[in-house]
Amino acid sequence: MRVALVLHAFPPVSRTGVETYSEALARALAGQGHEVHVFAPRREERQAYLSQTTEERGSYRVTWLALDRDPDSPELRRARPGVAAAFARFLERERPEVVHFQHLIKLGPGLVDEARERGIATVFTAHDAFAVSNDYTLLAPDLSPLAPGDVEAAARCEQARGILDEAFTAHDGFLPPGSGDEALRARLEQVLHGACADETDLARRVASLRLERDERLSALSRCDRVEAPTAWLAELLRANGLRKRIARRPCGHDIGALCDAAPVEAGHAGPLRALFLGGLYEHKGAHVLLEAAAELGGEVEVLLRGCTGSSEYGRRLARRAAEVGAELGGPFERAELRGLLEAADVVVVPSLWPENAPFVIREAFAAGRPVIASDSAPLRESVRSGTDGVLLPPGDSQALAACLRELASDRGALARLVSGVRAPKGIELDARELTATYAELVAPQREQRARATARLPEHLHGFAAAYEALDALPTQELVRRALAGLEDLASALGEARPDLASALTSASAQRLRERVSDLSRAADWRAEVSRDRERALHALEERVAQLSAAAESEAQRASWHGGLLEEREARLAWTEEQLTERSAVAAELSRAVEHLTRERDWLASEEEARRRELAWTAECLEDRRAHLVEAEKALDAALAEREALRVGLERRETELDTQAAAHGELARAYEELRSSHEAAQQHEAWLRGELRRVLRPLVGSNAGRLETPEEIAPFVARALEELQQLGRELSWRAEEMEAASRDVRGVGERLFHGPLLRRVDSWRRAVDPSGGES
Amino acid sequence: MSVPVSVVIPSLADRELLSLALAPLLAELDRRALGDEVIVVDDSGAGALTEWLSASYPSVRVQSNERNLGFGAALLRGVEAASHELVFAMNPDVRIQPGIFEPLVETLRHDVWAVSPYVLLDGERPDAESLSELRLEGGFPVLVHQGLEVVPGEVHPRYPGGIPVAFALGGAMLLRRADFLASSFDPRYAPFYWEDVDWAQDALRRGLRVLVDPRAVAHHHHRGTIQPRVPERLVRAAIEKNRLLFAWKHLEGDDRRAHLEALTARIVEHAVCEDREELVWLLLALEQELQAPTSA
Repeated sequence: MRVALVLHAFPPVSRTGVETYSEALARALAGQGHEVHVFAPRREERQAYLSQTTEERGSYRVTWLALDRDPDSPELRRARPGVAAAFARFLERERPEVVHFQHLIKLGPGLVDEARERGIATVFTAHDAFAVSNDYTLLAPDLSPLAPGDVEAAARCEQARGILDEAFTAHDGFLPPGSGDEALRARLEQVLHGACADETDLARRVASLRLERDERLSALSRCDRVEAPTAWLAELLRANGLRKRIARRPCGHDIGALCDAAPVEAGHAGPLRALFLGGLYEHKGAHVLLEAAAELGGEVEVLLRGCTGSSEYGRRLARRAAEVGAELGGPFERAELRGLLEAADVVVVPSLWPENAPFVIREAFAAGRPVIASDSAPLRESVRSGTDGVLLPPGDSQALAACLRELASDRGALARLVSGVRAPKGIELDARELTATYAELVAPQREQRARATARLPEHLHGFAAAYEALDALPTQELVRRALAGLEDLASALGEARPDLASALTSASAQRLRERVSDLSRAADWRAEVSRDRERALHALEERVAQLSAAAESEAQRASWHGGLLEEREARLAWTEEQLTERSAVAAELSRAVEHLTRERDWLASEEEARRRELAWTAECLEDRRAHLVEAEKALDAALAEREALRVGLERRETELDTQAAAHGELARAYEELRSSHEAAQQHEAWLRGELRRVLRPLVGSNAGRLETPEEIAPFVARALEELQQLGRELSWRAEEMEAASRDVRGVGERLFHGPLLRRVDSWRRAVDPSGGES
Repeated sequence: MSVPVSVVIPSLADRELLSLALAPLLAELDRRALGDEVIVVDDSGAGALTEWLSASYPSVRVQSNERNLGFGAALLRGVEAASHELVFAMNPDVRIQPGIFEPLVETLRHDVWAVSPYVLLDGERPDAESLSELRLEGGFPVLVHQGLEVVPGEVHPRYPGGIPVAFALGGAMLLRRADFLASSFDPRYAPFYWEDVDWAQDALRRGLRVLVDPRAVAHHHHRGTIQPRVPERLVRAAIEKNRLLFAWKHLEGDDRRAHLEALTARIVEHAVCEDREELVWLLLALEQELQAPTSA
């Protein structure tokens, strides 16, 4: 895979943490088979501005972009005109598949879009807070903390540095600690924290910084992947507007040579040896170590090595080191690092800024040296206090002195810290992790290209694939292959190898000569145009700032008017609120009165109803009382009647007993009479039979045929004779019948008249008092 | 002349273009009533045209390629299937004007390798399409327009028997079936462009002629089939690759040495000026050439 590492500087021009790390990473990635190309600017006034020079570094290459000066203004930090275009030419030429941005100071955020526009995967590793603040140390010139999102504070810092420019011929952006110029301190204090004397300038700076910050955040948010070595930095960037998921991934270190460093001899007889490595700048806190050394008075050997310029701080530091007996050396080569660490018992990192993940701590751990560091949020992720080092309050030289004294006197404690040190992550592991990341990011683009090829007609697939494969090669490789192929072609055609010199001087090379000439003029023109643009940009920035300042002023006026308006509106609102409240109270009172009136009416109606109800109740009571009296009377009558009935009943019971006896007798008499009656009925039936027997001879069987008087006459005569005889007999029989009838009547009278009948009637009436017939 | 013609149209899935091309073509063949035939080679590789053509143009014969083979191979397939000795090779983005075949057939005499109609680009005057001339410029072959004033549909007074040209347009030319089967397009020019120039150049070197007859007129929707499917950079790469292959195949003697010298200077120029595209074109040609060296 072709990988481009992009950063603001590179060894040997600069050897601070990011540059050293990037150099090691380039080697490690190349060692894993990648084609690595570093793109970095350097100040190179002998070459054309923005020209590019490629340097072979064995396993990787470096392209230097020539700048004519360092980006010392916010405008130039944001986007140096021509830098992005130069980077675009680099991308076109070198065809990286991944661009890994390590730092963008001096380069500008435009590089991100140049890579993205070409479909190149982009990775950004944040090594400090530069993404959200130009003051990546997050310290103001007086070393007070600076909030990364506070653009006005950052603008004040710029103004304050103007004061430092006036006060010192060279400085590092901070007021050197211990500087005794009270007037200078007061001025800084005023600019940084007091009422602003130059609002226009401040507004201009604020506008410019805000624009710069927004552009940078916007560009970095567009990277395909953003990483930060610590959770602290990841959160800081996220909280300040980097709209991208930020992966926490510690960086690796080239620890190979350091792992074999001689171990700490905790028990050696000499004094404790404390080592400071790194930039000798205010925010790094080297002066804190010197003050601790002053307190220790020779109990501890203190050595400081690192870059220092000709700044006021550097001079003060050198003087103070001499005073306290500490050794202050200059910059060191990487080859010296192992020796320096072997000569130390502990490494001191007294940073005053929230240093993210200092490489010196990893280097110390790689060599088995414990670290005494400032107790800041990010450093807590590097040093485990009490295990592989000690964390102390930042800037507290007394605490540092006490700690060193304790370790000097208690070598057991030092040995325990030494035993707690673990080797840091190696650069090879880092490169392997990044290889996986790069592959993951590149895969979709490769798939997209494959899909695009697949959409072509089939007979074009081979041609398109060959084209894409060649198009992906760096220009240098294309040229190499073309020259080699040309030789082979000449050979295949049976021609002599083309002579380069004659080719370049031939008529056909006229176009080349003209184009080279054009290119040279174009380069000059581009540089001039870039400078023009830079100047124009600066002027525009100035104009924008002026307009911003004016706008700010107008905004302030508008804000004041707005405030006034708001106040009046607030009063009006309050009054309206009061009115509303009072209206609400009045309405409520009205509703209450209405409610009470209704309640009063209701109570009056209720009272009337109650009164009527009481009268009615009284009437009812009177009626009830009368009824009661009558009822009492009725009750008395009923009781008397009941008594009479009781007496009657008793009498009746007696009568019933008598009647029951009479009834029995009557039943027996009845039975007897019924038997007599039946006998009489039988006798009557016998008489009737006899009568029919008597008549039968008279009429015989012709009884039905005797219709004429002649027919009847004989019969009648005979019948008359017989009738006379029978009359006589009948007279006798009639007498008999009369006697029997009398007997029957007698029984009937006895049965249906007389005392028995009356007794039965009396029973009937007793049973049915209505007197109805039973 | 009462000679029937086989019209061979290699086509991708271009129904719309084909419809526009077939309407005047079939009308013209009906008018001729000579037993001409139309063969469409369905080169979509998916039979995208077969059913549609059978249903919409039952008189059209369809040859369906199972795979997309490209213009040259598809044309060969159609010529193989042709019934007549004279074949009119035609692109689906070409529309003929009535009366095109009689003059073409007349002009294709025994010493003529191929003849093209006067091709108008979408009704405009042609550039180098059918009145081309081959030149060497800075050691590289280029096709330029001859600059002749031509009245479409009329005989050119200077060239009554047809205007000599560098090549007959592959998308609109009358040829002999037997000639094409004996010597079809060189596959090294795949995927497209310069194959017809190369084909004509071989004939010209054998003393044959290649002509344009302005009495026959056709309209060409230039790159109508390629442009919608192939990115311009690939089209350009194919053209430039084939230009170099053509040069390496046909240039000889001093021309070839001058070309190699110019090519050397050109590589240096591309290196200095970072002309990546030109280097890619050159390498595409070199890779192909060195895999299958030419036998000039």
